[in-house]
Amino acid sequence: MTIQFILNGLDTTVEVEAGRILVDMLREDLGLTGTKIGCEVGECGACTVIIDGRTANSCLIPAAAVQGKNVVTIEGLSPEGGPLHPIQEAFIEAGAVQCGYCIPGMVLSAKALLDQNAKPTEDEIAVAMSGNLCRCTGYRKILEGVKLASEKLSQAAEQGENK
Amino acid sequence: MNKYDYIGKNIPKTDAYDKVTGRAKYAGDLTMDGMLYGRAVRSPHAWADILSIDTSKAERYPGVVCVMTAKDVPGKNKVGMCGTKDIPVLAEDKVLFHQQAVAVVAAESQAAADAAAKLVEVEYAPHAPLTDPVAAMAPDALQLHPDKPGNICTKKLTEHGDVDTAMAMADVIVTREYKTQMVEHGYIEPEASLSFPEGDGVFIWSATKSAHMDQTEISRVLGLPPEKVHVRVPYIGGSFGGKSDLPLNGMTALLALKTGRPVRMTYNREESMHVSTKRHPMILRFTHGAKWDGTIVAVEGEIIADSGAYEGYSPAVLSRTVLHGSGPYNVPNVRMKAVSVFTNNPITGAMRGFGVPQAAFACERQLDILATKLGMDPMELRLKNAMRPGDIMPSGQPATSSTSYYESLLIAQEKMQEDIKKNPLAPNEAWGYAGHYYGNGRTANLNPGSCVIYLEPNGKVLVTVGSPDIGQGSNTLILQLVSTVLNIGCENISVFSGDSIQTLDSGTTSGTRLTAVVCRGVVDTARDFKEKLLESARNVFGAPATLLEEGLIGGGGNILSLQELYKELEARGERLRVEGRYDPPTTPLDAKSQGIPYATYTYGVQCVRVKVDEGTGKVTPQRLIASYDIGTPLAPQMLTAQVEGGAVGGLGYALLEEIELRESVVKNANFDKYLIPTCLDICPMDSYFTGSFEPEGPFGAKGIGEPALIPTAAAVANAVSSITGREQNTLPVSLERVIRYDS
Repeated sequence: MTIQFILNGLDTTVEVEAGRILVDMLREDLGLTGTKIGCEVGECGACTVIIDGRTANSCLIPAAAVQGKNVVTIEGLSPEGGPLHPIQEAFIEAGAVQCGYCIPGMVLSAKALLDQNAKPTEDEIAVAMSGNLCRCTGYRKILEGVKLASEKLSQAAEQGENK
Repeated sequence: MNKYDYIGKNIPKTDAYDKVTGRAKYAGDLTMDGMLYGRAVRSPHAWADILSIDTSKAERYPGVVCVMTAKDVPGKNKVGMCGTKDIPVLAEDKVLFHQQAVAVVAAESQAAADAAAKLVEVEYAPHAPLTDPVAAMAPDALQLHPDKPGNICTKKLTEHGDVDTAMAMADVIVTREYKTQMVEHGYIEPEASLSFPEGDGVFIWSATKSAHMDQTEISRVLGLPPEKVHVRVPYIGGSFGGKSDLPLNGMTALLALKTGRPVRMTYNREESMHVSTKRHPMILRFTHGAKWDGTIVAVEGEIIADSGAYEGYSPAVLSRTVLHGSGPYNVPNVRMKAVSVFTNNPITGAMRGFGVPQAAFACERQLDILATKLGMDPMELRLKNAMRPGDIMPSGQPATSSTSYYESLLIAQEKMQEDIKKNPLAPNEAWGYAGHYYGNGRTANLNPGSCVIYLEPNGKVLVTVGSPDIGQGSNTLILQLVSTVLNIGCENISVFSGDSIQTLDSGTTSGTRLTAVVCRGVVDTARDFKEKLLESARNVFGAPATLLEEGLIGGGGNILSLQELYKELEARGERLRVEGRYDPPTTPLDAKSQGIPYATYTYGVQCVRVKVDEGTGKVTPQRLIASYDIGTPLAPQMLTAQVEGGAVGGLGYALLEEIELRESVVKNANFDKYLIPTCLDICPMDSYFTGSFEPEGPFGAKGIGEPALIPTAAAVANAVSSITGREQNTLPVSLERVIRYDS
């Protein structure tokens, strides 16, 4: 079957077998291996992508379900050779990255939150990030990274307004 | 002062850019042209004889390229982490644990491999599994391994002083039995491996904590000399003592050599949780003897551990358990006996803490119970007995000059008092705390941190070590240290690790040995490199040379860049390659574990403020204070990252996690039923360091990886026990155990 959707800002058409799961289409058919597989039951969040502005576990969703939708994966956040997204910068500065396997999903959960809520409280951050498991960091530095990203984005927005 | 002094500073981790952009490739992300996909055929029984295997239907399945069984293994079909090589890559005449691999299929697609794996017909004669280590030791129990009578995997003993006499003279004696549960590493990346033929050997991309161990083990299976087995570590998504799964690497390597094509296998989560090694569950019976003034005069421990089906890391784990059992206290008389027993349960192995979290749980619960019996403040009891420099450890080794457990306790005490002053404790709240210590490096074993440093044609400095960076940041730390020693900017230095051919074996990334052992080797090698560099330059200049900033070298009125120096040396047929190593000054241990098992030790205490809902049994950690003696803090952000990650792993161990076994089968083999902490389960955490200096460590530093997890569970259990007035002597401290103490 043919699926047409917007992937990381680009019109995309993919031929897939019926029943193909979204994460497999992204990783195997499109080579976008930044989306990880950790549990395949929607518990770990390593496969998190953003569909029409909301996070989703791509291990649970048929590829066909993104027909006509707007999908963002980690590869969509910073073009090859281009600058990092402020969330990515903030994660590095906060020391939020250890083994890194959960990080693409974490960054996308943070993006979906901050796109909706530019200045979240600490509790709002924790709730938004609670669907993504990490075994390395103990989460403190990831939560600090999201907070720092929110400050960076707010500053950038204010500077934009002042221009 | 050096321009480049990175001691005590943070730089961006070298791997962070690749990881935040999703460009970092883990083993399961790698693909190659013509790649095949593998899937193992696994036993539905925990213990069975294999009567026959029929692969013919699977072989005829469309897309299948080959099916292999034990009879197709060209070398010795045995691998193992410790001395005994007892785990077959593919089972031969019997399976000893549920989901053990019996055959493996390679096919053109994963779907075909998965489907064909189901068509392999295996005839089994199942036995009732040995599920309980105590029952497995009984004289009439059936035997799992013919050469291991009584199902005894290993026995370890630490004995120092005269426990019986001291115990007889003690004023107060406390004896309790403790139970700890089997838990899972829970790395988010499941195991994966990609092998392909390279020359007349094989190349393996392996998610592993040691490329060199994989090389040794897999070359034996393939019947190849080790140099024909080229193992490289891609980015690895968590280890914590686990990885690689040696049978997995064996399977992809066998298939690649058989088919002449690249073969990738990736475990799904259930497969990973069924077959990967676990932390040993233990039953620990501890007795403490003390004087009325609180002086601990003797500690005795008897420990039974479950090894599961094969040896795994049991001998190494139990060595540590008995050495560390009496805790960071000056106890003159210690006897710790441990036995590990074969069952048909999952294999137990190395997991963050290496047998010490279990011992610390028993030891630190004992101290709180003893303090109650003495009518003494638990902190006062710990301070009174705290190990100080020069005190004799249970191994007979004097505590090193950096030992500052006492100071770490004082810091913890002060910080808890400050907190209580600000936020007085409600009746259902308490601080609980627990101490521990942990020997850095492998136990009384050859343990070299080897390193080679090269001057490259582009004038950059290349540092290579065998031990892979498993995400904790060892490559970044190495970069900081070499930059500091050479006074050359980080951009002119690169670090390469984790390759069985292109790097020297510097040991596994485990045992809290990267900072204390490997990085010391790196620093020594870098100092040597600097001398050799200046010596070479002096020969070029004909005058004494000085290393200037920005990668320039001067002498005799000339200045050369390192690139120009490389060319000058090349013209003379010289290449600057400096090899070095540091092997900690340990000695072998005798039958009572007397000797010098480790060159240095990390000490510390964790304190957890806990709230208990006595209606529901819910335990909520509210704040955590970690106070550690780790010598010099080399890279504060990565250091506190280890503390926080370890402590949250410890909270999971304390409150949430337990592998549930039914007839030796894991019943909660995914994250929907095996719960690990989320970011809603954590609390504010603060880390403090005593500012000690360890002469053996690089720039005075010691390790933190495993110590970060060890005391947390005991601290939580101590807090909950003091709130409820009921002893929590079994892990995890679950809702049921909090409400009703009868377990």
